Amino acid sequence: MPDYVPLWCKSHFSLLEGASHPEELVDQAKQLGLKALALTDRDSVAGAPRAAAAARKVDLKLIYGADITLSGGRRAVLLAKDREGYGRLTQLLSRGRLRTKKGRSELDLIELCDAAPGCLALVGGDDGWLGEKAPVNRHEIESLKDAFKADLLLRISAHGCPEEEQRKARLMQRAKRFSLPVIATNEHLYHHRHRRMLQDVLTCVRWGCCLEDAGKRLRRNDAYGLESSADFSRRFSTHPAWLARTLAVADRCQFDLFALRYRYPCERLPRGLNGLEHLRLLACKGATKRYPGGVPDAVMGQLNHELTLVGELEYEGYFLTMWEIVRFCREQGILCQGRGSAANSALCYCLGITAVDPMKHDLLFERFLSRERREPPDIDLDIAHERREEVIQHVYAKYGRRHAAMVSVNIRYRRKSAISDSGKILKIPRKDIKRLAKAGGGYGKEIPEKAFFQAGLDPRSPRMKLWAKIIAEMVDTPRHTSIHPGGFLLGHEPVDTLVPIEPGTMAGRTVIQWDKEAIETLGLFKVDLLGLGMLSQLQRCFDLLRRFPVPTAAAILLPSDHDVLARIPLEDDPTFAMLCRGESLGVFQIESRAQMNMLPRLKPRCFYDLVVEVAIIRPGPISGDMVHPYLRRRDGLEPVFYPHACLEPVLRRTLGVPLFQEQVMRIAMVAADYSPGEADQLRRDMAAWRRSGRIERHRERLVERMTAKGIEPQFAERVYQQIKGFGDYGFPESHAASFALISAATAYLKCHYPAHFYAALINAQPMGFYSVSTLVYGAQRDGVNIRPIDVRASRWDCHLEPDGTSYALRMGLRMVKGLGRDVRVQFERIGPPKSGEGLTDYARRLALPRQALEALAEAGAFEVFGTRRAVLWQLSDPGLSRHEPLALQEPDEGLCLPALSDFERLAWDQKRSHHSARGHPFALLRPLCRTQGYHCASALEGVATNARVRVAGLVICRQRPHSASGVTFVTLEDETGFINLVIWRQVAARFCSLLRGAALLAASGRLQIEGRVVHVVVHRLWEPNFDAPIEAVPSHDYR
Amino acid sequence: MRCPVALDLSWDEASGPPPLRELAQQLTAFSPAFAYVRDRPGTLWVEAAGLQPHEGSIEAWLGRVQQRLEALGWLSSAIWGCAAYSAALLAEALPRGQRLMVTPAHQAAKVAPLPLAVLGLGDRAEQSLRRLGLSVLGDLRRLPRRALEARYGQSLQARLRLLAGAQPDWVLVQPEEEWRTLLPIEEPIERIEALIFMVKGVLGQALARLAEKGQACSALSLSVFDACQRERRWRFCPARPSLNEAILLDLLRLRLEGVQLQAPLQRAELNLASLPAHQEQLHLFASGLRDHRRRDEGLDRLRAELGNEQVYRAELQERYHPQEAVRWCLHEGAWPRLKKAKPSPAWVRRLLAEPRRVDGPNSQGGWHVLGEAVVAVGGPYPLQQGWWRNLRTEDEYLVRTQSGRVFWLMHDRALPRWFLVGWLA
Repeated sequence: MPDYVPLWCKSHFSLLEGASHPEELVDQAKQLGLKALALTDRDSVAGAPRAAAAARKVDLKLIYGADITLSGGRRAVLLAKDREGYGRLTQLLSRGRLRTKKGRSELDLIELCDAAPGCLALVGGDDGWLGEKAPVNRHEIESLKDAFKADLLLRISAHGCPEEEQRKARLMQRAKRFSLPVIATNEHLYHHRHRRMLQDVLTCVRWGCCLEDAGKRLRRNDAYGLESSADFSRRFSTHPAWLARTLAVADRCQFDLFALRYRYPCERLPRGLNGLEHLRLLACKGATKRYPGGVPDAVMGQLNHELTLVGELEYEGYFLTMWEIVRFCREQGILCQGRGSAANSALCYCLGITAVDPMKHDLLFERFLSRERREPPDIDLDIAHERREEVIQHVYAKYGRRHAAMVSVNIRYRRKSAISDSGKILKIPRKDIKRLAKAGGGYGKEIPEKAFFQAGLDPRSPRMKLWAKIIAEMVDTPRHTSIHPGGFLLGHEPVDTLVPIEPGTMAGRTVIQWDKEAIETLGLFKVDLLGLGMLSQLQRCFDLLRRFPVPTAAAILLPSDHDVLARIPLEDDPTFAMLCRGESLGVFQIESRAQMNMLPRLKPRCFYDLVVEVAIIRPGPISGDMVHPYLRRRDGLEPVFYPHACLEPVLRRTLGVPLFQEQVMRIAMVAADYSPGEADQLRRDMAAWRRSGRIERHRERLVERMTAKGIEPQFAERVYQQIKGFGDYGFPESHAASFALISAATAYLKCHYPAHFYAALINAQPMGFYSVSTLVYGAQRDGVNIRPIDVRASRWDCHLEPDGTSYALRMGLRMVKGLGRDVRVQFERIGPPKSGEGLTDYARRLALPRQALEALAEAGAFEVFGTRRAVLWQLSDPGLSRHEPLALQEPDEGLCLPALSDFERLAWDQKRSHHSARGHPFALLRPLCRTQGYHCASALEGVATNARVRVAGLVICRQRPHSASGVTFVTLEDETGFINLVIWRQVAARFCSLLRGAALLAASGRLQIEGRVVHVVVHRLWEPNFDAPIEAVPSHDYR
Repeated sequence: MRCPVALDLSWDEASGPPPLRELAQQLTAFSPAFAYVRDRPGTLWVEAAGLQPHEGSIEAWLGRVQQRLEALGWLSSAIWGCAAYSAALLAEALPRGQRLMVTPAHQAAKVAPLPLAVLGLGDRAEQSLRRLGLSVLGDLRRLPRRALEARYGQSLQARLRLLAGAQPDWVLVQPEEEWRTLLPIEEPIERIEALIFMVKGVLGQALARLAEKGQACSALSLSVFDACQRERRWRFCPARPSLNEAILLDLLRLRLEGVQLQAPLQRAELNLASLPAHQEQLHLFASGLRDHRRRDEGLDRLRAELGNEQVYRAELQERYHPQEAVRWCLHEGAWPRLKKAKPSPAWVRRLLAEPRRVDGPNSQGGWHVLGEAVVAVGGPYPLQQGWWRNLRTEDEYLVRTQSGRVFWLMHDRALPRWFLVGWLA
């Protein structure tokens, strides 16, 4: 039986074409007893690292190549023979990709010849090139032969199509004419024929058609899977030499992806210093600044330890790069701060990359870097999101487009997207698709039957069964690629010799074809530059404090604001008093409904309390049942207890209760004798336990060893459960501390400069947990005078106006929906109306599109010129057009349009500008609410616990956390504050449609008061009948 | 019309608008003239001028008209006494079965509370007016008329004129004449094509006669009777009266093409309804040349008359399976332009209308297709399509016979059976 090697295999990374994962192709090839396999995705090597890892595992030879798109719809398969060939291939792919738009590639034949030394080319085959009746261009073939010489082969396929017979005859004739060797290659689009269905489905998605109309876009049959040598050789039984040639080609391809040598780019160094020396110098300088009273010995020792390790592992270039980026940010006045495990490093702290002192907070360095792991360090740098692009472009400019590119992300099908795409190709009615997508979203492949019932569909009908089957097949299949939130790959050698670079969807971005996992698999270095909205808000707040000064803020706003964050007092009593009242609207990380309720229980009094607060409302501590013991011990309701004396140093700061990832690692090290490397592996397994299930292997080991040390099995079990909880989402202490710094800063600004704080926060939208409307009402409750949008006084952004001894917040024109950048430019050019200027003249000067003028009029910005309706009437003059002179008349004599009611004014404000500065609709409704027996939010505290109450408000938040056993939490808002509803599963099921859709909700239930935390445990829900036009506010739903 | 009465008929999207012309034909006993306008598909105006002396009172006469309409399956409400357009709006708002006289003096007050939506200005204009706080027709009076017209364009301008008493752009319905003839059937007709052929023989003459009288065909109906005297009748109306034989025959062919005759036909009668034709129409149809624009207009009329879901055309599609290579699709818009053929397709194949069952190879290895011995076989070429309906696994074969003909065969693996689907020309 002649052997063969499949040389033309496409994985999922031939997006919407290949129907198997690279690992599946590799495993199947191994099972079929094939000697090797070539992965040749369409214009891509994105699947190569995964295939390489899988091939290494099963000991299968992997050949790297790509199916190249040439001009005129022609194709050629290139296979890398060696490192040089691989580099040429990736460069060629980059060239093809970068000249076209995202997702496409095109090269010409001459460029294909450039790949010749080091690559094999297979031409011909199914695409019609050389196989069609039309005469071939002799010159082209000769050029290819000259370039590739013996490495040019003519491929012939046999999938059982009648057209192939004719094509085969022509190809054989031409092979003879041009003296080209023939090779047998079929196109393999999946590892097994059962994936044919998925391949057809993906084809339809790619072409945007339904199955019924796809016709010949679908493959004729299921002969596009991997086959055993016996099956494949039957297709070419009369040409064994063609099969033998596949083996010969495989022998000639000796490149191994793991043999890639990668060097991190060197920074420019001062003369006479090497990288490590320069780093040491910078670290020492930084340490002197960080510790003005003298660098403590412990810090110096730690710094030396870290520098030695960095030198040993040759990571100094990476740290210098991060330092350089931070320096750039500081120079440009861009707020940035390192977070994540980097905060465990004293070196990062001294270099100014992170802001948390790891020595002070006793953070675990091994969580960041370890000799045993020898993995590249991972520093995440948060940058003010509005200016992050400047930093990204700086990196591109500094290292060059060929040496720096962003990492990609593979967006895979989840159930919701699979439902939507597959529904379309099956021609399922749109409303059914929508309903099932709503009811059947989530993780996992299978859609539960109840989701079909909820969508009003019968899961037992053959059509629905087929739909469910297709959805299950689609889940996890890559659909398209996107850009990683901030990951960069930098290389000393051009990156495009490692991996193809392609254009991103965003202008000015170039992206590599590999994702984060691929980078990790190959041990490459990634620099993460992440955008953080709250840093933009802080930046804006500091700017406002400078423009609208407050005497008390002078201390934190020194002329050089490199370290403005560091000057904010972290432990300020009024700020903590505010937080203890649960008033954390807009405060970073602790503003959510759950956090707001936790604050009065936890009663933070120092910075470390904030670190705990940030970390405690996470699935890890909640599912590990750590929250209540911690709170009880904090309140002195139960004694602080350590299961073993050895755990006291680890758990002392959290009162014997493990709350952070590092503590879990340390417990494993102290109580279960894990080495630092093993503890880190435990952390990794925690993160991946849902996917890999590897965490189970730690259970026995942890529990056994801890019990052997005399720790109670229950505690050991709880630690294990918490480890699993961390798999869902848990915070390392370093990360929590970095975030808590920003929380403390924002809380301080909210407490002392609320007008500045809210103005900055609203200007930085969209970000955070709440809508602008909620923030505006929150600001009003905090005593900020909010002034409405007015063309005379408003600027593009919200700003401040003197208001007695303090400031009032004037809403900006940016709040008006539908105004774009061009409108902003025009406004900033023209400015407010001149004194005495009428609407006609002003509108003529503004020369904005009619829609923009109408939007402003509806939002009330032109009320200075008359009522909103009168202004709209004037603006509807037909001569109004952007490009022609306005022909507006002054208000018509005797024009009589009805005035807006108070409710209408609020509704128009809300509809046009996401908020109303003129008050809350419930302030108008309050008399009616009183007659209908509704309590307002502020009055609930005065009602006895367990009393029956009726409440009503605008829905601003709906949540059903996984860790809450099906309980739904809804937050209502009225003019006096928030009302928290707790809705048990049965009640939620009864009122599910109301819960899902109502913008205005009333509820009755029992009041639960615990300290300052007030909840209404709901018995009944309904939509209140106020007979008034109330506009819905955007709510934060199920996120 | 001097004294129009507006009759507003109830209808819904599902059943479609009332056939106003046909209804007018049914009501000719009540009035000499009827009219409708294209953008109010539920309103029929009836001329009431001069009827009062004969009918007693307008109200009593209208009562009888409404009764007749009810008998035909249409509920209506009626307004008379005021301007035609206002009468139509008011009739729409009136409960079905009622009728009311509105004098010109009260017309404005009656119309004022009607919602703006009755004007049918479109969502955008209505939304814009509502935004100004205007919700009913009376609110429009608050605004200067010229400024209003300037802002909301011709559409509102026309409606305001109509509200002020201008006459709508009527389509007048007049009584039709009929022309009837028996088709000369000598032997019973078994095929529908023969019936069409026979119609063709008399239609030209009939149209010529209509043209001589200055008339054009407004409806064509064909009644056929089989040996058991069972009658079947088909009728269609071009959107406007026509004298174009080709178009009328095409329409008839389209209508009859899918019809299966259950028994031979013994007798057939062709009936043409006609209306006075304008000179322009007569001139237009005199040329007799094919004109693509007219073809498309004709198709538009056909769709207008029969409904959008009734007019189909054949379309070639790229499919593996021979039976799926042609599909009937709803005709919309202009007739598609023929694409230029791809450069010389490898094989030209002829498809049979229905696959024909043939024998496969016998156990001795011999194989005859349509009586010709097979000498060469290409295939099998597996074809697996339609898994989302019902997976069909077939093998495609191309076989050459002794005489040199190449047949295209399919082998259904499941049955298992052989079918001839076409041959290579």
